[in-house]
Amino acid sequence: MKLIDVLKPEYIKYPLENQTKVEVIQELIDLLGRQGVIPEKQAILDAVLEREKIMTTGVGNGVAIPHCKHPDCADFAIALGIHPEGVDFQSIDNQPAQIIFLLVGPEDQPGLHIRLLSRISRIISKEETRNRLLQLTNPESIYRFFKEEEAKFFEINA
Amino acid sequence: MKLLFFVLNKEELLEELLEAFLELNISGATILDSIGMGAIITHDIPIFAGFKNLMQGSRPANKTIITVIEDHMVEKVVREIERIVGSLNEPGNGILVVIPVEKVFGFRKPFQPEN
Repeated sequence: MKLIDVLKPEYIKYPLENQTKVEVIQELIDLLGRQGVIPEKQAILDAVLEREKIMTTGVGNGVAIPHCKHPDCADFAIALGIHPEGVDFQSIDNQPAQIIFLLVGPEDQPGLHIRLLSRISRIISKEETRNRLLQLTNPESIYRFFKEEEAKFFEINA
Repeated sequence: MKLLFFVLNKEELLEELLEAFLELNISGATILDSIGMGAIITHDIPIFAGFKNLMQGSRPANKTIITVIEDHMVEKVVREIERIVGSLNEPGNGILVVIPVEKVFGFRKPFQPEN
């Protein structure tokens, strides 16, 4: 399995239009909702915000990876939004988040959930990669970018 | 000879375990302060903080005991470890790896029982 299997060009948004953390998460949930990927948008938002209470998913360097498990999610899905100005995510380095991934998935596959989070984190951990991503302005090119970047990694066991 | 590599999750049992080693005539071991991968992932890497529930029963730290024993002692030592920490088939009691040793250097002689 690869990230690219669950991140489709239709799940990518440039630019994100909202200005607060909750609104931006909502914007990404709406994006998945419109594609029919998630069943109940409010339940997903609640679950994502519940996870944020444990510790922010603003992991620093302009990256945030809000995520949740939910019993109504039949499958994993990743949405990605780019916010060129950055949005306050209460990130661990206090820097605004520009690259925001939303990962939702079923409740009974925590192992795969961790592997997908880990893969996102590894791909995006290099400054040079983030800078190249932030040059891109349309979903198709962002999707191709991830496809090329992930080709450098092994397949994740589903 | 065998290298015994034992991760002891219940640190409070270390003294009893080392006493048992002495009784078994294992006169030397190296004890390291150690931390399991799961503890570091869920406590120190923010993105995995939501998976703390998967780590229930795990401890923030543990001890790793390394020693070399004679082949014929393996069964006895394993039995004693399990008597103290509980079955190693149960999660959370510890992890034991036994590895064949080709050569050892720098060991002092084991304690000899006094007559």
